[in-house]
Amino acid sequence: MVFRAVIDADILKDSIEAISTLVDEAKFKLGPEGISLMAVDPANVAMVSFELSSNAFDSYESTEGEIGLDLVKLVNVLGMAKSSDKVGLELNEKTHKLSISMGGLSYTLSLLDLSSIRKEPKVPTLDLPVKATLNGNDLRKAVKAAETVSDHIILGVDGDVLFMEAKGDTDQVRLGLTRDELIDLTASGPARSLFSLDYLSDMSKSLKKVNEITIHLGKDYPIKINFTIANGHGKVGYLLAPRIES
Amino acid sequence: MGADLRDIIEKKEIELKELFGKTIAIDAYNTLYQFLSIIRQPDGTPLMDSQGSITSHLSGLLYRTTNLIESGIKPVFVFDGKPPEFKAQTIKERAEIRDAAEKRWIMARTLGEEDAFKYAQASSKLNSQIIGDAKTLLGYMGIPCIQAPSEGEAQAAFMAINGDADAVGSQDYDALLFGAPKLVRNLTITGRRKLPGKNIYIDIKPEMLELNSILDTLNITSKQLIDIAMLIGTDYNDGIKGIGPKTALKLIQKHGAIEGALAELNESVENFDTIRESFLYPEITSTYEIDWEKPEEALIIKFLCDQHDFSEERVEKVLERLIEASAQKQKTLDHWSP
Repeated sequence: MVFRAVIDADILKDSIEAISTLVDEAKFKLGPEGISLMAVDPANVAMVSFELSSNAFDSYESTEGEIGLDLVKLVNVLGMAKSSDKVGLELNEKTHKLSISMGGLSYTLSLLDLSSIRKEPKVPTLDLPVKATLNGNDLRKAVKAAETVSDHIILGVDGDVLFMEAKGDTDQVRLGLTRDELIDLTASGPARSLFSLDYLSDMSKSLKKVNEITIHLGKDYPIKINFTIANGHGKVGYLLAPRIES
Repeated sequence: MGADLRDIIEKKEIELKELFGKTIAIDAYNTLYQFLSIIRQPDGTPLMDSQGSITSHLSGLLYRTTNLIESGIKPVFVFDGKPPEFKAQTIKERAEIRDAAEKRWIMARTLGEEDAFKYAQASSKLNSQIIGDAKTLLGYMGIPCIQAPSEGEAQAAFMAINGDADAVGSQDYDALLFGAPKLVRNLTITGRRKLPGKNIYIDIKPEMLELNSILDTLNITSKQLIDIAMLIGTDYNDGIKGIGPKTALKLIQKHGAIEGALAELNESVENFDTIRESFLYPEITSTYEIDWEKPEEALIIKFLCDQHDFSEERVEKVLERLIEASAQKQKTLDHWSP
């Protein structure tokens, strides 16, 4: 199996961090068209799907295959890179290692045994009535505000307004975005679901640089959050199961 | 106790959070023995109230079950019923061992010997008061208790086979002999634990054992796993002297069943047909209800603090955690999976 690539440090960092918020270890699918991944957190509450096209790389060469990576180690290694750095990746199949080079530094990271990584999740089939497109920072802002009063947040649609609401024992916050303040909103049915901020705040860390995200919502249904990375050459999708309102 | 299959069985260390949202049918007797054995003072004396009644198990049930519930696990405790008749000999032998250990403990404690704890552990025994108190406390905590007609592990295994539980929780391997598709060990002892008598701490993680994967790896059937267990000894028979799990596995792989292995060894296992049947078709019930209720705060305080002299302050603190965790509303994606 061959895998050899060069990519901007920033793009790689954003990509890996979008995944490592949910899982510590992951199995990447490599192929001539790019790399992809599907993973679920240990509690089976949240899922991430990830695709990075070969176009996101400065140079890219790969045959079909799978590798297991320790994302905690990888994030640490990438933390050493300057954002202007180029990162070189090369797989050594014989030694079962990935070599990572940047700005004169080179690391070799041992690959994980594929059988030790949890199986790829079955993806739920969901038909969610609400689709809203908004600025990633708006969701991030709502999540941050909610964290000051509670450990959960309600997301829903009321007429022409996408609302995000959190109630604590004494205080509450609400952010309402009208159709005009959103990039797009389509609703074919009611939507109101409650989510754990533990999960949502980790996920929303990846959103601060994202101009446009699409969220799908239903009534007491999981939320889907989709956005692109790497100047449109990569896709990230989250799926988060709701909490039940008491 | 149970068949010691450890050396040949494949297990996987997991994180407690991987059991989030999972229903675990816990072998109650096994867990109570464990609490009675490890929750003791340094000289081996169990926790007791002012009446002299043992409370080690109540402490274990309160604190450790709350930890499980906080991790999103939904526990169901399965209690033993009447033991099968041919287990009588084992039960008698065990009672004798415990009595001897108790005498040895009392002597060691009087003399201030260091191994008093060890003998005290070996003397742990369940009585009807201990079991009754355990059921009362679990009931007040809102945790379902299922009464097995006979072996608790067999009933727990049936509930897992039936899909009403995601796994069986026990330290023993016997649930696998009863056909449990998944067995979790170390559930109630997960975390940082001090080794008795030593100033050493170890980090214990849950272990997941999957029957199909074990049988595939060993290239045997579940019936052959039972035959292996009978060769090394189960709760119902002593096993052949000098035969450990690895030798037993080789013998069964070679001969296909216990008969050939016994012939080669020129040994016998009494009633092996009946024992095998009792693992394959144990006495179980399919009428049981699994419902989790809200914890009854006032009743728990009355029972533990007024009747058994627990510290009210400490009980209130853990109850706050239990009540919060019992209201667990987080769904998992399983719910929407195809």
